[in-house]
Amino acid sequence: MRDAATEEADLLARAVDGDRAAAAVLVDRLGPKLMAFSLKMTGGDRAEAEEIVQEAFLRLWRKAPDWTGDGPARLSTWLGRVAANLAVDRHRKRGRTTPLDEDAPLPDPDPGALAGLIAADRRAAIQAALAALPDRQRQAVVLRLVEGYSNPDIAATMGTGVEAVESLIARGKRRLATLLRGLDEEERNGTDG
Amino acid sequence: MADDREIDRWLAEMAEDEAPLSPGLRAAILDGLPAPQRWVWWRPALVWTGPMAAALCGIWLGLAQPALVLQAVPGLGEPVAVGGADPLDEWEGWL
Repeated sequence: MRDAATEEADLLARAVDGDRAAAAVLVDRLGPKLMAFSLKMTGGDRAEAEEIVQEAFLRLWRKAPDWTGDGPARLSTWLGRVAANLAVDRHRKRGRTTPLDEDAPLPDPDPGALAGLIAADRRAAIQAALAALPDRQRQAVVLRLVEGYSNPDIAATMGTGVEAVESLIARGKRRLATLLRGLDEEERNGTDG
Repeated sequence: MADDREIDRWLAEMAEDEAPLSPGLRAAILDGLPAPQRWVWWRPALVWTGPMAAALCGIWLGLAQPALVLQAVPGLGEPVAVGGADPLDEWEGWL
């Protein structure tokens, strides 16, 4: 049986030869996961996530003629890294005009909406809590704890040091715990009251 | 209440999340696929055409109008004027 990497490389080769059906299969196979990742990186900003996904695929089409199917990198991994870089770059550019104090108090999440979410779906609640984190904390947490990147990899992607990454992750996790604890309490109060 | 390990586990589970692409985005991605480049025999030849033409012109000019070419070469357009005594004269007695 052919492995997924070889199959993806074949689809890509056919796509650049003008086989639109192969390109569609590739987009349908890799797109939804890339979209979910981009949504997490952007804190649920769908318009921005869509731009990132589109740009990542455009870069893949450009890279396609040089893609070596026998290399160790899978297309999904490559796309994920491109999307991570794009998300970080966009945040960096935005940060130049609107500096963000990452230690500033968190804005209160909408209690009603989030308490409803946690009752209905734990995953939606953690997504909402992730979206409420400051951008850099969220990106570091997603790359480390969701995607499993190493800290040096994250440091390189985010253009910062490993210690800074460790600090971002630790603070991000503390804030997540605080947010989720708050949601739990709201849920209990809502149930009791 | 969510403890640290629970949060780690929930986050790790999110790695498999998927979000469908909107039809518009899907179409835009596919439209971005560049048209395939067909190989045409004369395209590599085109690269050499310019330098080859320049070289042939240079050779033709050199053969047809040597005076014109030599005029532009410093030191070859007119005979070199040597003034004063021959430097070897000083050594005449010694050699």
